[in-house]
Amino acid sequence: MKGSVKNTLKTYRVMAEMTQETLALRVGVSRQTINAIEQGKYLPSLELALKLGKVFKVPIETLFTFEEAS
Amino acid sequence: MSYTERRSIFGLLYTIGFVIGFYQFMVTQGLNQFSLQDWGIWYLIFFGSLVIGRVVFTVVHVVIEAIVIAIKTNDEARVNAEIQDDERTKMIDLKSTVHIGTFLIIGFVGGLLILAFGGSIQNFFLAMYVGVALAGISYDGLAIFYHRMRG
Repeated sequence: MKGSVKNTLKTYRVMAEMTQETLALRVGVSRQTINAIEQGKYLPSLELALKLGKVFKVPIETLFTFEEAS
Repeated sequence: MSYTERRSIFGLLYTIGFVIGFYQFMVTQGLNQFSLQDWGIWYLIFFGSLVIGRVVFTVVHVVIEAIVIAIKTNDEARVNAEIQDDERTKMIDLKSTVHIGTFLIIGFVGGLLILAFGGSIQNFFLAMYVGVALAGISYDGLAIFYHRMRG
């Protein structure tokens, strides 16, 4: 099964009126890591994905979805 | 640019500077007349000073970065947040080490080929030296690539 992981992290972060830096401090990573995730350059570990879900109070499948290649 | 990216850039410059400088130093010590024992001693000095120098260099870099961030922000939490190896940095470090072994083997096999085709023992050790240099450069070069492109 081919495809890629998309995320809505930036949408949720902006909705929560958080900066990348604030979010990074909340989940214990660098601002660059949050930026890389938002740009789809880096796939976070399950632990970090769960932490992000906890911050925004949503399940991780709301933040991250697998889209099959057509 | 993140702290870890700057660390990789300075690490790359350090490695390039060190291998060129050490080569020049060996030349001044009469590299062409080195015996096997001399090569053994020089390689031990080379590896030892490369590793120790890198550790010292990294520690100094961390201290300078921490001081600069502390002066800029006056916030200890920000200093700790900026100067940390998070999961992405660790992954980049891991991926960057992939080709170290490849370059070391290329240097060694290249040296063996030189010997097989009648080259001197000096050229064998120099081929290995180039392999070590390329391995070090590839590590920091790949880390910069992963920080910039996909990591």
